[in-house]
Amino acid sequence: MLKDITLGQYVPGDSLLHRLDPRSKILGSMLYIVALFLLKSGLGYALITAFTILLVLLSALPPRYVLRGIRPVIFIVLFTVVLNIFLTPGEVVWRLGPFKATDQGIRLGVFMGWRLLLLVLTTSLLTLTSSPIALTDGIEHLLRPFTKIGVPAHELAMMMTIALRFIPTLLEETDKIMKAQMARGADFESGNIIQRARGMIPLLVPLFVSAFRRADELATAMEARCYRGGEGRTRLKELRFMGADFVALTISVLLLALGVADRIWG
Amino acid sequence: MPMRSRDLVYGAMLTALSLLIPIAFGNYLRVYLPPFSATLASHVPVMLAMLVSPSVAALVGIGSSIGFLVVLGPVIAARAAVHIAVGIVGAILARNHTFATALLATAPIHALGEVLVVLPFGFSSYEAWVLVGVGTLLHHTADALIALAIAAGIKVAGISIGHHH
Repeated sequence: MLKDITLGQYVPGDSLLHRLDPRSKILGSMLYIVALFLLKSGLGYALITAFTILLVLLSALPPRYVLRGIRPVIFIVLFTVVLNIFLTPGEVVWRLGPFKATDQGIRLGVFMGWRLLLLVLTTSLLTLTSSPIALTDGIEHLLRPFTKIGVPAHELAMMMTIALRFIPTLLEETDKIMKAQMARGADFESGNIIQRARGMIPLLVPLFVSAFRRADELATAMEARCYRGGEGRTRLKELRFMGADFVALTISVLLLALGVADRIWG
Repeated sequence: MPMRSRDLVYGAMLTALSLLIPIAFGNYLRVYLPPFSATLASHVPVMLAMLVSPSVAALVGIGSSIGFLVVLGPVIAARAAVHIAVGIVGAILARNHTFATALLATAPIHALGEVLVVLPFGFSSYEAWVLVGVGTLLHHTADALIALAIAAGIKVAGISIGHHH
């Protein structure tokens, strides 16, 4: 299942989403998230779902590949849905022993689960269509105004990008170590939570050791190429806002307006 | 003064691990006492960042908060933001004290911080103080033990991640 996680992966391409400036994609994603948390009506969710499907189509990525990214969070989503259905007070519509499913709970559970799925899908699209270097430049540009109050914009952007770039690598490493330990008889699934946590130590120690070894190698490679932080650093490709970026941002603002309107009148 | 590239990359790896652990190990290590939920070992990256430096611990806290905001929403992100303060205090303490002492001393700060950030999200006093507060204290203790085991494993592997080691 670990190989299904698409967060942090980049798939090169020449689609409209790939060509957008990373700043408009990052800002658009933030506005999308705010709008998603504001929505509360079925119509609002239907519209944002249709918009998300349009984004997947515009990315020109195989829909099955993009959807694969939500498989690892299905468990979290189901858990959220079930807990909300049975723990939200309201009008009881169904009973299962001591558990009562309420009308309000079903509505809240379905909306929360759906919201989580859309969140994961859209954020996966951001990294799937933006190269790590484009993301670094985008984050750094957006954080630049905050450098005046001491925010280390370049360092933060570089760190986030390396982190996103290494999530797939570390997932692959986790999968390998997990299989190797299982071949030696390790059991990660049985026992209570304490036993399972103890069982994870033989997996976590080599995972962290491997991550720090990779970090050492990467730092040596960066220093060998005279990396000295953000000051005075030039770029092979300067970021430029094009017509499509203004359209994308306008659509994102409209999406936010939809969220606000739905919250007030929905 | 610019951050050392080695520290920057350590911070990046620890941020990646802090985002990866709840997603990859959620099925095995998630504890759920509604409305409190936690994944064991999820604090380990920020705890290990205390060994590197206060700025790296802060960056790992910020990075994981941004990641959680994007993937799991504002409540989890607000709770993750507490790790920024926990990381900085722990890293300052770890300079002059043992790692275990730093982890122990930051447990009440961590629990109090998480209680204060969930209150505006509509949690009742019982849910915030008992479930989130006591839950975080227990979660912090369990993760501290895992972090100590991993720190020992890293030392055995001959890797030194801190300036002061």
